Amino acid sequence: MGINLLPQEFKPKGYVVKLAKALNKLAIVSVAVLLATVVILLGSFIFLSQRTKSSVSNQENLRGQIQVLQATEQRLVLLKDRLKKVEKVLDLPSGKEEVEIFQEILELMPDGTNLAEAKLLKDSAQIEVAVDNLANTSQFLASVVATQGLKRVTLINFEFKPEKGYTVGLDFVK
Amino acid sequence: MKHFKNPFVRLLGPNVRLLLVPIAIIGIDVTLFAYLASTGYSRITKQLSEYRSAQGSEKVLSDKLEILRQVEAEISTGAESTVIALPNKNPGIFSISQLRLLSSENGFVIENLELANELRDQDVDKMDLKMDLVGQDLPSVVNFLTNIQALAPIMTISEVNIEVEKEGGWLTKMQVSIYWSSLPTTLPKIDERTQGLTQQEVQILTKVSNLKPPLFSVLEPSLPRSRSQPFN
Repeated sequence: MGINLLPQEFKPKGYVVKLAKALNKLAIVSVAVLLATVVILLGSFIFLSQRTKSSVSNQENLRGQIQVLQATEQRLVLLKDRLKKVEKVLDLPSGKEEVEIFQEILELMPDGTNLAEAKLLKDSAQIEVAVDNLANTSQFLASVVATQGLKRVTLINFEFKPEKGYTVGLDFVK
Repeated sequence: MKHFKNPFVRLLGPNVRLLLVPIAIIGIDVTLFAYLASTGYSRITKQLSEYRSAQGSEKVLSDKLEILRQVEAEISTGAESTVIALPNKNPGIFSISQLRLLSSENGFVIENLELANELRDQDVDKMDLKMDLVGQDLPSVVNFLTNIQALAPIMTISEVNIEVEKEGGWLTKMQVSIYWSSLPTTLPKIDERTQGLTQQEVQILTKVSNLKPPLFSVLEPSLPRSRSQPFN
């Protein structure tokens, strides 16, 4: 049996030996975790860098292809500009409704009724008709009142002269 | 025994000596890990942001290219008809030509033609065209007024006054407005998002394409021909 000549004060305590063993294991684990972290971080960085470079390269390629279609792009810009402004013009009062009113009223006029004057303005149509007798006047006014789609009809003039007959002036708003 | 020879080691107790190496390794690892975590995370985040930005730009360019390819065939004639409908310069001559043509088709004579009241706006400029129409037939007047809406360049009716002519027939005094607008001078940047034609724009384009354009004639240069009498 060997003789331990090491003095007792140089020998580590039992619990310290156990602690050292546990710390050694922890140290190995921590080194492994550190290495894994380095690999993951480096790998991610390289991966993302490569993908970014690839995307930038694709962008240059796409820019080149778009340059080739520059004429088409110019036409598209021109077209959108024109259409935006045409829409603005088409939204302005065009007189279309007033012409439609005029046309409808002409179709309503019975025999013995003649157009005397018509004024088509921005928001209304003023029509003056000459009627030979009261019956036709009533018939005409009744037809006008029965017409659908008119917002307002205003009687602006009603005159009788023996030589001319009846003159009826109406203002129409659609 | 070598640990007795190193004075520093001799100063440390046996317990400390046993724990020193693993504690040092763990300490270094934790420090490196903390440094890597903070620095690495910020770099990865920055790189990820750059990647996402590049992806976004690539998508914008890709969509733009796709749209340009789709519309290439559609807009080849559309752009021309819109410029005819709303020219970049005062279309007085074209509008007068259209009105004269329309009036002759309806049996009218145009008199006292006058261009007046030019109005400049930010988007669309405007001018008034006044004229007198002399004709015999009232339905033709209505036909004329209705068909003005179907002509290009676009005209809108401002005022119409129809009265009986003394010699018989109808005198129509009318005022129409004509429009024009300058062309765009800049293209958007190549990286800017592009939209194709919206539903509303397609409807307006269809409407504009159906307008009757002015008649343009192209004068071809005449070819040289032989002269039977060169000195005449």
